Amino acid sequence: MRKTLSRALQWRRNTILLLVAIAAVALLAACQPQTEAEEAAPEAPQAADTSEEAMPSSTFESCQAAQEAGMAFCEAPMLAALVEAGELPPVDERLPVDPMVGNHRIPESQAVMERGEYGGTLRLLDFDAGTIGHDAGWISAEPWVETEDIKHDFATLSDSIFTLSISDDDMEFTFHMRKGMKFSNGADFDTEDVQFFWDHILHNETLTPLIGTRWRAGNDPTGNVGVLEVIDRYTFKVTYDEPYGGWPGLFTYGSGPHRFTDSDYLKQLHEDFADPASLSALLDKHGFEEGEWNRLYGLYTNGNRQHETGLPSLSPYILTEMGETLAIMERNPYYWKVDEWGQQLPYIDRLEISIVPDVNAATLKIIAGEADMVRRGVNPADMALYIQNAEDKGYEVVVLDMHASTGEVYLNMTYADPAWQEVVNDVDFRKALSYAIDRDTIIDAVYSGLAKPPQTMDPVTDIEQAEAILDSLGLDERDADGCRLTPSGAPISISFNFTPFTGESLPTAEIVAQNWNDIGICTSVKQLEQNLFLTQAGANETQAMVWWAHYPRWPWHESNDYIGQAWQRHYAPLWMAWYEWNLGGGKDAAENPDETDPLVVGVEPPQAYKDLRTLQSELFATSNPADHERIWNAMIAIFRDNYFWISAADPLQNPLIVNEGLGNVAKKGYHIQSANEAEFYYWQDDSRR
Amino acid sequence: MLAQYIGRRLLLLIPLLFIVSIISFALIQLPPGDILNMEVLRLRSAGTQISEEQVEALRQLYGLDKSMPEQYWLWLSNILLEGNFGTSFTYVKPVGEILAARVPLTAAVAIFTALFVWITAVPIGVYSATHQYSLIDYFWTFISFIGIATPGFLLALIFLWVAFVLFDISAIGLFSQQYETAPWSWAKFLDMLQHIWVPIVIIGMAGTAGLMRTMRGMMLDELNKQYVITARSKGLTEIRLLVKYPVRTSLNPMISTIGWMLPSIISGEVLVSMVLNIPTTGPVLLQALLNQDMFLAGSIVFILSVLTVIGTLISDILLVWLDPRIRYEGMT
Repeated sequence: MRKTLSRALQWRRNTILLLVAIAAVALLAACQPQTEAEEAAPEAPQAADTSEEAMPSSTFESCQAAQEAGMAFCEAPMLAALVEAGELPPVDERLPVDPMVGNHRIPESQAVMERGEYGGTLRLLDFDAGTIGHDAGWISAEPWVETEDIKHDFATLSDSIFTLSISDDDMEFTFHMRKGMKFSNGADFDTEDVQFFWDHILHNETLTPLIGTRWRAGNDPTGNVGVLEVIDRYTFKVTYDEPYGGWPGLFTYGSGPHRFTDSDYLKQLHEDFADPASLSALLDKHGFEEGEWNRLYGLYTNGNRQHETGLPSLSPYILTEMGETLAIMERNPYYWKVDEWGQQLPYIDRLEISIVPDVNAATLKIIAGEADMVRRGVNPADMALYIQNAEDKGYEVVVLDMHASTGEVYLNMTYADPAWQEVVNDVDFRKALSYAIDRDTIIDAVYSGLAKPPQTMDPVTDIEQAEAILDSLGLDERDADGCRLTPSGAPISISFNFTPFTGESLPTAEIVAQNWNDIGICTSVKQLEQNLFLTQAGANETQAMVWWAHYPRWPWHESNDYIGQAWQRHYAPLWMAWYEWNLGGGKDAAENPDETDPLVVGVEPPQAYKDLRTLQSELFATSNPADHERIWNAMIAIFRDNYFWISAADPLQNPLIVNEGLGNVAKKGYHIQSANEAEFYYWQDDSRR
Repeated sequence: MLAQYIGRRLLLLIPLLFIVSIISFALIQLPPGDILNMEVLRLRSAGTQISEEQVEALRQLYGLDKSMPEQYWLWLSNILLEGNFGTSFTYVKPVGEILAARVPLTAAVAIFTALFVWITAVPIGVYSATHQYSLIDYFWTFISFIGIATPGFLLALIFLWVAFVLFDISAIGLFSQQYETAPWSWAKFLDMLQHIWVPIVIIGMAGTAGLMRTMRGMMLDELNKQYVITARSKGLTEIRLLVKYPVRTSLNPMISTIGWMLPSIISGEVLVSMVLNIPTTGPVLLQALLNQDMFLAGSIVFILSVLTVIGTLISDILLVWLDPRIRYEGMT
């Protein structure tokens, strides 16, 4: 009987083995056809091309043929087919009379845009499930006016959506629009849309509860908001009551101060215009309460986390399909830029955006050659992996400069510890701490060599001199643990906070703490959860931190970084509070303020900081590039001489993953910029078109 | 008696669920700061400048200008009265819509995994017990220890690496590219079957190993009991004897864990799903917690708690019904 049983179980075992074998075969089956399919897919269109002999061999030849036939511009075959079918007006009617020609942003020293051929798909990566906003979001950004590079040099100011002229007193800004320019849905883009934005978005208290400083004269919270005047259908003027020549510097980058959308579309979401019944149906559909139309409005227009299709835009690509792990964007048939040969941009037909959970999954996609252009998804720590697989998978690893630093060192000048206050306000003390930082080790260990020593700050590492400075400051006594004592005999200890928002903060904090311990400034490192970190920093409870900021290399982008506020206050929370209280209108606005609370009234800053703030105001007042340079250099001198913060490395570099067949990608200059001029990208090899 | 038992248990659910809802909501509010900090950081890190009017608009957009109890009451009353779980901050979409997009796949993975676990673990457990200390028993014991000891995400990583090295693909996702945004069709379903076995085997590994061990242990207890010997001496065939008596008794642990399956159908295996990029609800919950997206996280936690409570109830009822030896508590 035992035997029968074991035979029965034997049979069962065999079945299990068989199942395992089937599973193994399934594994092969599941994986193999996929790779074959991927290899086979690009060849299919080629076969189709050769079968029709009458077809021109390149899309440019058909473009020339169209121009000979009297057309001013020509278009992608995909759109020509729609015109043929009567679904789109001809290209000349879709473009403005004066489309933007060629690239204004990338300087010739970085790349010269070649003539591209139409067609193909560009594969990108994104992270936030069910929404897009990273690389694809940046590609969609169209600034109001442009400068070369992202340095915002006003000498290179050129037209983009608008052409701008600034009055001599830097108070009047006249914007000329492109006649006949259209949104992606074919609706006209004219001053009516601008007026709608100004009156019903910017000045609507529900949508814009607080009009930000960028719309106020001098970029100052107490400045008056500008006044819009519509001159004609294609011209409008914004006037400030004080000089604000630096204003355009705030919107030559990214999507401008506002991303325009067809006002007729927006009226369907706007309480003052929408039909109440259809508005409440929409509210209901999206799970909002009655009256929460501003949330509905935000849902449809949020360009940073886009997931609703159908939003009219001025971008080269528009979202057509949105899945949980894949989004599709297709060319905007009304896009208003052409190349020098009269071909409407963009060249590539569609974007295919895979949404992965995190950077590690992105790495796998990259090394499998399944993405054509990756900026945000790269991780410098994976450089070796990228390079190892680059040749096999047909991509290039281009190392470019970053626009931001992910691990800068900040000392809190207003941290309320008596021993700390005894020393930190002496610039020589901060200089000694800067001298102690071993930047070579940080560059090697934290950035795998992909960084340079600071360009605009003193990069010196000299431990002996650091110790000599500390001794000369009267910090030559030490306690039993070897920690230096202040002149009055109190031990100095630095509690150094960081939050793992970027991967660089932990190793940077640890190396710096070690360097400071080595010169007798006892330092301990503490990791905090992000929100707690920010809350403590804002409440002046952080003594020193590693945080990230934009470089002191361009004055406009994130200009608050330099005066002590990179989202959260960092190097002197109480100096900032003093400014807000005394000069920022805080004193007048407050009801029953607690004037004994230092967080409210602040602490009077030293002259150098006041000078810095004054210079920044002057910078915002003028549009003269020569003045900008002079003022900015004076500001840099203040950062450099005062060690308001300690730069560990600048610039950082980051790899950009680019398919080697992709043309017109700038392989010099800034990371964020090369990844954004996607309307000029094209596939050099027709197997990808 | 059974009806009375069920009724009493159901009544107990009401205060329990109320407390659960408060805890779910409060837990997510506990950390300092709010969603807005995270959102601004996210934007800045992506290179986007954000001005104070945008921050203020976001604050209103998220309804953060209301007080905590007010937010809680709105949330709960919407759930109870309208079945509306609120709107996620990060996705700016109704929570219901986000879950609806992901729950079917999550449920499919969970159910297939459970089937995989039962189909493999029960026979192996029975075999190991009836052939205790045989070579094959040792083999499966060894395998099951590995299965219990290796975390699922590690298996997933190893799998990805092997697939990359051997087959040159990034084996993440649940569909081939062309089906990802396509509506459901037979072809899409077949395509899914080609991919879904990977997470099923990986997620099921630990469960299989555990259940295999439990089955073996329970069987060993039963096999030496008098009734088995009696049955055998009466001439019952071995298969019939096994299936009819000891296996049936040994299935109790399986029944009592059915309750846990219910929440897992909704929650998904977080880490494995993250690694394999499977669009289940697991990664959404993790992100929601990290971002303090309170309506999304609170609603998922709340739904999971409700399902756990209901699942436990179902298990208890099933057990009482299947195994008369288990008594109604407090009924004697």
